[in-house]
Order: sequence, then C-alpha cells, then structure tokens
Amino acid sequence: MRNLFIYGLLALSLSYLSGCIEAVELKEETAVEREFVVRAVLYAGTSRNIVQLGYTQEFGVVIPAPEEGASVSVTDDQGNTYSFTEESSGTYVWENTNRPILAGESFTLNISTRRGESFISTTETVPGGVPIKNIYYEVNQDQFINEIGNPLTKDFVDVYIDVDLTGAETASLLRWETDNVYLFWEVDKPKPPCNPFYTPKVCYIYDGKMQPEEVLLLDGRENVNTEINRIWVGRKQLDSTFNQLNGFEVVQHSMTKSSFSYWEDVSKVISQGGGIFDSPPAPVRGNITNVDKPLDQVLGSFQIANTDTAHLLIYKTDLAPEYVPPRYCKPLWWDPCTFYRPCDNCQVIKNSSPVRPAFFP
Amino acid sequence: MLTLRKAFGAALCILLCLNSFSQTESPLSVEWNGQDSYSDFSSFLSDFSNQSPVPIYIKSQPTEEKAINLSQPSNTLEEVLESALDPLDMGYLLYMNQVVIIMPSEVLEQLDQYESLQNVAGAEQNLEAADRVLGNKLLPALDDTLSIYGVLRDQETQKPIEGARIGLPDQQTFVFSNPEGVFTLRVAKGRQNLWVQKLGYEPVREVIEVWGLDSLEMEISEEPYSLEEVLVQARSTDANIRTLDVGLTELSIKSIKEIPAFMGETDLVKSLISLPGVSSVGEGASGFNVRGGGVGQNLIMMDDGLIFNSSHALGFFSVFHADAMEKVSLYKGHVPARFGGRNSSVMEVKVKDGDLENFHGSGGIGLFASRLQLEGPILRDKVSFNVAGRFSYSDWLLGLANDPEVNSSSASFNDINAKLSWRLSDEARISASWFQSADEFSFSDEFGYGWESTVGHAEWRQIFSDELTSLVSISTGSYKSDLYEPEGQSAFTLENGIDFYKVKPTFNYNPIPGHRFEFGAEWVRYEMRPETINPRGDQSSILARTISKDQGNELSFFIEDEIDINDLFGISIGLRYSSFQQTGPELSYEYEEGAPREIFTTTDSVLFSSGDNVQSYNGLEPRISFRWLLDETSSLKLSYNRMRQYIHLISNTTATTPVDFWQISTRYIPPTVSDNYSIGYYRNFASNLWETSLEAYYRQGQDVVSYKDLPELLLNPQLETEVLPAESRAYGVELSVKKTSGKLRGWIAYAYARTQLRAVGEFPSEIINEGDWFPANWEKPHQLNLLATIQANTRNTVSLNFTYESGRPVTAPVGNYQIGNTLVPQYSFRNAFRIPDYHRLDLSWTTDNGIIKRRKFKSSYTFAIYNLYARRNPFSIFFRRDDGISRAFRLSVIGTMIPSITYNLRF
Repeated sequence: MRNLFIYGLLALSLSYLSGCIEAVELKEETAVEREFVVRAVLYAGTSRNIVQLGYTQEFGVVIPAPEEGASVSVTDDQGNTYSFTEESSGTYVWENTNRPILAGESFTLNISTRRGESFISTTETVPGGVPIKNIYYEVNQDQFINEIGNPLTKDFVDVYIDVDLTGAETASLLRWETDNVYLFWEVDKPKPPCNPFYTPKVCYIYDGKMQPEEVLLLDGRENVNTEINRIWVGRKQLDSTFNQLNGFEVVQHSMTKSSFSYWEDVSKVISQGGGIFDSPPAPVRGNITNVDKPLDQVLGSFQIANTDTAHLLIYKTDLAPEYVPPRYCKPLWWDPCTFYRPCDNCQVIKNSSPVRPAFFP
Repeated sequence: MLTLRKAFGAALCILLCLNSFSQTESPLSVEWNGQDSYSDFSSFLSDFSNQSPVPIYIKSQPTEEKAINLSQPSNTLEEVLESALDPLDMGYLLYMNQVVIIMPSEVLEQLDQYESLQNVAGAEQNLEAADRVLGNKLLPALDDTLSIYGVLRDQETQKPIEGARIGLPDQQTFVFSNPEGVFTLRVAKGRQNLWVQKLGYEPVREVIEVWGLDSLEMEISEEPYSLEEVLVQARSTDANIRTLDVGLTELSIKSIKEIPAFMGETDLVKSLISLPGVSSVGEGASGFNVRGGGVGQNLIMMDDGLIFNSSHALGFFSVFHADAMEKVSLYKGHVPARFGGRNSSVMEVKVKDGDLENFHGSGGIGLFASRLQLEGPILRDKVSFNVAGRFSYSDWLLGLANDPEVNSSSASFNDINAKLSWRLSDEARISASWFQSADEFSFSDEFGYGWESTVGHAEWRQIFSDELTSLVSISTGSYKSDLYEPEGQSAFTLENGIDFYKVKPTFNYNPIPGHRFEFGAEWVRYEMRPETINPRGDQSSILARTISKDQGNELSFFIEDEIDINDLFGISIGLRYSSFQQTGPELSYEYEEGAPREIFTTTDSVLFSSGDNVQSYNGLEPRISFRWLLDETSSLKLSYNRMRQYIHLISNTTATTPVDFWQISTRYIPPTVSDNYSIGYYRNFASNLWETSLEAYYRQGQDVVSYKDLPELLLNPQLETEVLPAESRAYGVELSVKKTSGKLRGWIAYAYARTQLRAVGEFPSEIINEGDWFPANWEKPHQLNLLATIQANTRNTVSLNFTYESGRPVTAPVGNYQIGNTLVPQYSFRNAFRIPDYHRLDLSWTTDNGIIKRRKFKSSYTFAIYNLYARRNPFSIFFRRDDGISRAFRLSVIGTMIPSITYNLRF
C-alpha cells in the first residue's frame, strides 16, 4: 500500500510526458561504520544450535566479515551456562543432545569478543509449538502486462497449509519458510546408439527459499483457539521443473514476541523502496545490546523457536493434463545425438546436488 | 553554530556594503531609455511610467492634446519629464523621493516652488480654516495632549484600509492603521497638520483643530488615473522598517501573479516558497516548511477557518484561488498572541469582500484547469458577494499517454469560495464565507485516493466606541481523505479525517495613546473521524475494521499591547494562555512498567465515557517583539515566542500524503512546545526602492512528534507505541534584497537553514541514531531564490524565477547481511545521505491590452515555461535490489520543460 503513492506520482508525471527514472549517486553526510551482526537461534528440543558472528560488509560482499575467537554462551533461567564452540570462522555451535530445550524455559545469550567487547541479549522464553495440520497446493493463473502492453497469462503452483491453534496456550506468533527442491533425471536423453556408454544421472536441484524477499508472518493474537486454513506459504511458476518431481518443505517457526517484532521489521526493510511516500527505512534493531556502549547499534538478534515441518511432493502425474509442462530436453534438430546443456549434464545446473533430500522418495 | 556565525557575518558585510552605496539622490536621475517623440501625452506617460522607479500620479490631464517632442537629447528621466511637461504648462512634484505628482504649473507655483509638502501644508494652515474640528472649541479639554481615535476607509468601496501611514508632521509622530483601518494618535491640543499616506491612494493633508477627545472617520480615494499595473504594494513603502513584526511576509495577489507558475496556474503557496525560509520537500509534495518546521506545524487559515491540507493534485497546486483572495500573510518569526496552536508559522489568507458598488469578475482558461470569479453588490452599499470556482480537466492529458494504464487513469480537482458581506452600519459589518475543495486521483483500475476540505466561516466586526472595536468569528469545517484499491481480493477503502469547530472573539482597545491593546479568547474543538477500512466489491477478502479516534478542546486567552515607546523604539508584549483537554469516549491502554511502550507490553485498558477528561495540558506562551528605528531607513528588530501545539500531523513519510492524519495530544502524546528567537536588521535604500533584510533565528522544540524506526501508523489503535517525543533545534540566516518598483523589480533571497532532531528514550527502541542529532526529512541547508519581473512596456511583462536548494536527507542502504535465508539490507543512520541538489529556472511572459481604464474587458495571455533548462530534479529516491546490491534511482516528476498558455480575463 505504501508504494501506491509513488505509482500515483509516476502516473501523474507520465501524464505530463515528462517524468523519468535514472540511477543516481547519493552524497553521504556521515561516515558509515561496519556494524556487528549476530545471528543466533536456539531450537526447542535437541538440535545443532548455531550462532554466527560477523560485521556488515559493503555491497557485493554477501558473506559478513566473521568475528573469530569470541566467547559465546547461553544461560538458562536456572543460572546454568552452556558454551558454544567455534566450528568454523565466525560460526559457533552448541549441540544440546543431552540437554533438550523445553517450552517455557528462558535463555540469555552472552558474547565476549576478542576486542574485549561484551554483548548480551534480552532473556527469551521458549514458545509452545503449533503443528501444521495439512499441506496442499493449487494451480492458479495470473495475468501480467508485458513490456509492449499485451496481457500474458501464466500458471503457478501455490502452496497452502492449515494450522491448528486450538491447543496453543498463548497467542501464537508464527513465521514460515518454504524451500523448493526438484528432481532432474536425465531420462529424456536419447539411448544408444548415440551414447552407447551413457547412464542417465539423477540430480536434485535445491532452489532454496521461495519468495526470498517476503517474510511470511502470522500474528495469532486474534486467532487463539481456532484453526486457520489456507495459509499461503509459497508460489512457483509451473514450468519444466515440474516435469518429473517437485518438492516443497515448509518450516513453521513459533516465535517469541521480540523475534516476531524483529521479523516484522525485517519484512518492512526488504520491501522498502525509499520513495518519497515510503516510510523512511531504518536499520533493524534486534534484542542484543553492547554492555559497555548501550547506545551502539547491534544488528541481528537472538531467537528461540519451536518448529514444525511439513512436506509436499508434486509428481508430473499429479497435474491435470493441461498443466503438464512440455518435454524439456530435446535434441538439436540437425544433430539428434546432441543436447543443450544442462540436459547433457544435470550437474551443471545451479544448486544441483546428487544428494537426495530426506523427504524425497 | 560556527557556520551560522560565519553566514551571519557574511550577510551583514553584504548589507553594510550595500549601505555604502546608498545615497539619497533623486530616483529620476536614472538614464532615459525611450523614444524622441510621442503622438500624445498618454503614450509618453505610459512609457515614462514604465521606466520610472517611482509611481506617477497625475492631478489633472493637459487641457489640450499635443505631440511630445523631446527635441534635444535628454539624459535623465528628470530632464525628459521637464522637457515634456513644459509645452503643456504642466510641472511635477517629486514628493519625498517616492512619488511623482504631475499637475498644472500654476498649481505648482502656488506650492512655493514645491520645496516640500510640509511647507505646502504650512501655507495652507495660514490660508484656510481647519478641515475638521474635534471636540468643542468653547469647552476645551484640560489636558494639553489628547487622543484621536480614527477609522480609515476606501472612499469607493468603504473597505477599511490597512497599513496607511497617518502622521502629525509637526510632532513627528506617525502610526499605521490596523486591518480594521483603525488608528490612534496622541495630539497636542490646538491646530495641527494631519497627513495620510498610502500608496495607490491620493495623499491627504488636512488641518485639524483638536479641543477634546473625539473620533475621526476618514475616507481616501484611489488615484483617479489608473496606475495599478505599476503600484503593487499593499502597505506603506517603509513598513518593513517600521512595523514590529520580525519575519512577517505579506504578498499582494498582484505580485503573486507575476511569479511564473506551473501550468500557468497562479499559486499562493508556490509563491511563498520563493521567499527565504520557506521550502517544500519537492515538486508534487503537499504543504510547505517554514524555518525548519514540519508541514503540520504551520497554522493555515482562510478567513480564520482552519485548512488541514492546502494542496491540490498532490501538491502541484494549492487550494487557494488567487482571484478570490485579498492577500496572504505569513508569520514566520514573531507571531502575535492572537495566533496559536502551531509551532512553526502562521499563514493567514484573506478572502476578498465583494465590491459594494460595481460588478467585477475575472477568469482564466488553462491547459489543466479553468477558473472564474465574480463579485458585486446585492444591495448597493450594503450587501456584496464574492464567488469563485476552479475545476480541472486533466483527463485529456492523461489520455495522450501511450501506456494503457496511464490513459485509463483520472485526476481532477475543484474548489469553490463564496463570501457574502453585509455592511449593517458605519459601525457594524458581518460576513459569511464558504469554502470547499475536492481532489480525486485514480490510477487505472489499480488504486485511487481523494481528499476533501470544507470550511464555513462567519464574522461580525463592530466598532463600539472610539477606543473599542471587536471581531467575533465562528468557523467550522472538516478534512477527510480516502485511499482505495478498486478491484480484486485486496480491494479496500481506507478513510480518515478530522472535524473542527472554532469560536474566536478579538477586541482592540486603545484607551491610552501609544498603546494598542488586543485581547480575546479562542476555543477550538477537534473531533478526529474514525479510521476505517472496508472491503470494496464482492470479491474482496479484506475485513472491515474501524479504529476509533480522539477528540479534545483547546481553549486560549490572549492579550497583547503594542507600545510606541518613542519615535525610535517600539515593543509588542503579548501573552497567550492555552489549555487542552482530551475528552472521552476513549479506550486508553496501560503498559508494563520498566518496559518500552509496545504492543507486546500492553497490560490493560481503561474505558473513558463520553465527555470524561482523559488528559489535560496547559501553559503560558509569552510573545515579545522589539523594534529599534536606527534611522529613517533602517531598523533592528528582536522577537521571542513560545508556542504550544496540541494537534499533530502524523506522517512518517518524507512528503505529506493524503492519508496522513491529524492526531491530538493524548495521555501519551504530549503537546509540542517551541521557543522561537529571531533577530532582524532591515534597511531600505533609494527612498524605499530597495528593501533589504537580514534575519537570523533559532528555534528549539520539546516533545516534537518523531517516530520509532519502521513504525506502523495506519490502522493502529495504539499509536503511542510508534511515536517518540523528540527534541528539535532549527537555526538559520535569511538574506533578502528586494526591488519594489520600477521597470525591473523582484527579489533575491538566500537562506541557510538547519533543522535537527534528537530522540533519546529510556529503551534502545526509543533511541534514534545512537542518540545523536539527525537532520529532519525536510532539511535543506542552502536555498537561493531569484525573482525578476521586467515590465517591458504597458502591455508586456516578463518574469524569471530561479530556484536552488540543497538536496534533502534520505536514509540509504549501505550494505547487506544475512539472517537465515534472508538477505537483509543494512540501512544507514536516519537521514545520513542527501539526494542531489535541486535547481530550476522558470520563465513567463504576459501580454495584455494595456492600462486603458475605460476598456470594460481586460484580457491577457500568459505564456510560461516551467523548468526552462529541463533539469531532471530528483523528486524521489528509491532503491532497487539486484543480486543483493541496492542501487539508488531518482524519479524526476518534472524531468523536462513544461510550456503552458493561459488566457486571463478581467471585467
């Protein structure tokens, strides 16, 4: 909704046939410092709990500069402290196989860096879990206007879940992440005699998070003791990736209040445009404070989540005939034994792996 | 502050340098640049008046028509005028280096070789009986000095005349008439010369005899020869030196019309933005900012009625129809005690009373909109009307666009002003006015929004006695806006608004000479309309929701005394007491102790019934202004104001949007209090031909409404969880040089202005930028405006307007970091970057059918080019992410030159 105004002005300017958009360099009034970033998540139950420490980097450097040699620990509400060990540069791990984390327990994160700075989080309480009741999909169509003004229709697979909040003792604050993996089996490749020694390979393409620039949140304070159906958790265009088997993994995070607020803010900044009618964007402040310099900004957060996971597999045969995508791998018309890559070798596909996901048959 | 001192010092140097050039030489000593001969006296006079830096008045026309031959080369205007007048048995008088009066030579000879008007008056004193006798000569008062209370009116229209200079030259005492035309003089008993001066009117010199307390009703008439194309001032020529107001700007509608306008539409607000200390966020942004104040910190009034959104068409135009208005005053420094309720400035727009004698009208047809204004008597000399309306028809422009979404869009606005004035008697006058404006904008079938203002106003002016006058005004109105998506599952209509009711009695009481008391009270009730969202259409899945809003009463009392200490010093001392009460019904929330005020720290709620007192605030607001008249051409002024604001514009966007809403002070949102200090040095040169000023100001504010990072403001019943009380400071220097008349007139104005905020709350989420000062969204440190109007001849006027402004601050992404699978942009501290600077040149040319008064219809064409050199000024900066890198792009709303043509008609 906030972008409507900028579109409005665009329209008005177009009406005068004069508006234009072009790249511009901004003048920096104050120096930008590298900020300390903490990404720490504890999961209910037993798991590998990971804390990543680093500093923000300039554009183009996605991986943060790691903070090595720090001392990282969590303290529970009984005063017990559990230390993390540095597994790799800037990554600290605590495998709590003997100390399951239970709903209702509270933990505080403590960090001491090599430079002598100390950081502490707010105390977070493990929320209760909420199960995913159902997962399913629908094929839908959407219309678009292409560059020359003609309407186009595309098919999409929309993934939905139902959640049951009737057992939740308190208001549920939920976030979902949906990952997509699909199977690429070189079954369409011609058999001998073109390639007498060829054995079709099987690849699993981990497409990663769907809609990475969207944070899917539900504030369940108004939905206590109800069942919420048909929650949209992801969309993928119906294309050749559905030629064989396509799988979706939905991870549902039950969150604390501070984590929920944090993700609400993340959601705002990743959808910000910075336009004149947008709310001014801002750094996302988490729940971690520099003990000696409490006014200093610390990015990232310490979160405790109670998760549930659901999977959805869509076979080519599940789709109605009109939605089945056409055969993807075809030989060159002048050379029936030669194929364009990646049909020649599925391992060259981006994010391809021979490792089968656990939920794939 | 070091920069501020440097800027102030530099500006002072400039003024002092200008001062060194100031000599009191005749304004007619400039070089003549006209023809050698003219067919008749009228054509010569027309050309001469265009070149003359001072206005020309003619007492009587030549008895015979003769060609004017300037046979021998004449260098100066003085020589040319003498050469032209001699054959006609005419002469002229240069009165106080301000006005040329042309009259028959025999009259001039009687005026003692026209040495000075003072001598003239003295001669008349010996020859004539007194024009007026005040009091009873047979029963003279015992006091040696007596008070004269007077009212000055226009002889033709009977309208009170403001800003006329009334003086007793023998006593060297001068005063100015107030907006009701009222003045008070302290006079020595006996025979006196009385002068009344007002540019555009015939000067009046009378001999009066004063024997007792009495009143004086005077009428002065406009100069019979129409020179309105030359005379644009609506005040005394040296009023900028002599008044007590620091930072007061008054613009006549005539001068506003000379400023090149976007799409040819004359605009009051855009004209103000060309003045020092007034700016806007950018093209197409609503409202304006004055000396570092936010858009919501300006009190905007049309005939005392409150205007909550002064913009049409997203701010490209304002809601004020210039043809229907009399004048606009902007108080940006000293604010008289009769005004209050906002922290930054007061903009007062006066709607014209209709003409009591004759029917008049004006209108215009432009590419974007058309307008019509009519005025005249309903009962001659008793009741008059003034009706004006505008409407736009931009859809045909939208239809020219190739984009199917744009050509199916729609944009329109309209407004109407209507005023009825009734002169009940010489002592009483009532008027009632109505204003309504509406805007609609829809973008294809995707979204739309609209806003609407309504103001009704009535006032009663009464003269009770020589000393006491009153003005009682009652007004009511509303502002409402909506935003909608017309179709689909997410179709909705979001509405909000505010209603107000206002009563304000004001009294002027002048019992003591040298003192002008003004006192009164003001009551305003604000009722915020519920914020509602409703589904639109059958397919919408939006749930209807209503957020109830607040209401409250603001009650103020004020008193002010304007004191003439002596000829040199004047002071205005005012005090305003304001109180505010938030009243029920209200659902007020309680929050956890020792925790930040957030949705998740809500512990309870309290329901207040209708009329219950939810929260009260009150406080005193002293207002002081001091003037030291250094000499006849310069003065120094100081002022201090405290202002309290109980209603706030909730807008976290850089520019004001139609769905921004007003919020009264509540339990958790305290009133904003500001202290404003101003100092100004004013100097006129060449007999007030040049006006210069250097003003500096400092304003500090407490509890200014600021916002937490990434706030949710719409449809939020707990707004207090998103706002922060901040400190503010604004300081700057403004330098202005203005040429008031002549063939070339205009001004150049430079302003250095800083506006900063600081929010240091108890909890981390209430601290912005680690507790440091940060620039406000609208801060533009350097602003330069140049306006030049060239009266090429009686028919053609060319105007140039150049504007330069520093870029405004923005918060920009400076990097990324990853949280889980999500790549999060790292944003800079709030407003740590600036967008590129803004500059623009506009040109307009108006051609009309001259100054011939007898022609009933006067028409003109205005050709204008906005943004002459097609500068792509950034209106908005937005960011796009590509492979994890955010890049800044600028949107130039007006990225090329915009030509326009407007046809104007007066009758």
